[in-house]
Amino acid sequence: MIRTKSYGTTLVEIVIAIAIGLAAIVPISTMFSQSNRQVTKSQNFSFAAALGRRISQHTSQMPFSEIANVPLPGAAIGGTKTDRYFGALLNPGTDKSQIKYLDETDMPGLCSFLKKYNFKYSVSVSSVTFASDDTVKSVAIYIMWKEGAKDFIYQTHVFISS
Amino acid sequence: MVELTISIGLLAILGGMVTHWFSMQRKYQARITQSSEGQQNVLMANWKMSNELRMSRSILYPRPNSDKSIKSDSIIYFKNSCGEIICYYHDKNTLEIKRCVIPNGVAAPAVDKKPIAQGINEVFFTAVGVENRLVDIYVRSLESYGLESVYLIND
Repeated sequence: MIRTKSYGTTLVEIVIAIAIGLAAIVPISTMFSQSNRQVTKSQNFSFAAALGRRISQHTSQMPFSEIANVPLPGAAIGGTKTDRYFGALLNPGTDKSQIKYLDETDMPGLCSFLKKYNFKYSVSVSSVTFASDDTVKSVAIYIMWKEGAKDFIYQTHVFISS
Repeated sequence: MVELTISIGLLAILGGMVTHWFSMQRKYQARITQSSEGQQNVLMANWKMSNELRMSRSILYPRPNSDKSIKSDSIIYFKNSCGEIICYYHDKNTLEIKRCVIPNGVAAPAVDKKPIAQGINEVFFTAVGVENRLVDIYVRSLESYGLESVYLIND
């Protein structure tokens, strides 16, 4: 009786190898996407913190009587030329006709970034009067945005005295 | 023979898929790293400039236009808390924000060896308000943006 010895790999072995390979690839893929989410989250938080500081610094310079509420659900950042914090953005020229606004026409890159995450802001002002000419305004600044279906918020405070 | 053909075919398909996946992930990872670096560049630029600007005495340039509209430039001159005239400017060739001290007498400006920030594609300093004590700083590094403002507290 002659015995034949078979060499090589069978289809079953290949299928098992493929399954093991796929099982290894899936967690690696998840790791990459999680890392991307973390970077995006950190980027948006830093950006929101800067927006909060911008509002607080502008508020410090405003006439006291003009510090007013921007009620919830908030105003979109960008797209409105008359917005007192984010309307007129740049002006490399020498008069107001050359002002660049935070809109699709003048700042397309930044505007699409803001729209992608739907950045909004809200301002809540409460006044405390100590005497007839001594009032303090507590200004709470909220920056809201979305990452996919998840809502995010950044909050900061500034106190302005009359 | 049939088994061999099928296995070669499967290996080719899977090899192609895995190679494509790896190349996609490499690009994806490069984009994430780039984005993270851009964000760090913006943060560093804003933090360093705001710290010195906040304590400075006055902004010399840019100043609001004669029609009271905002005025922007990629360069800013200000008098710091020690009374020195400091300039921050964007070097478009090296993509750096540099700091230099303008001497009082006749001498060349002394540029700091270490730049304020690197990898900066755009920067604009905007003078806001008639008092000229508020400066908006717009910074872009790749696809990361910064919209900072600094109010001069040192009166």
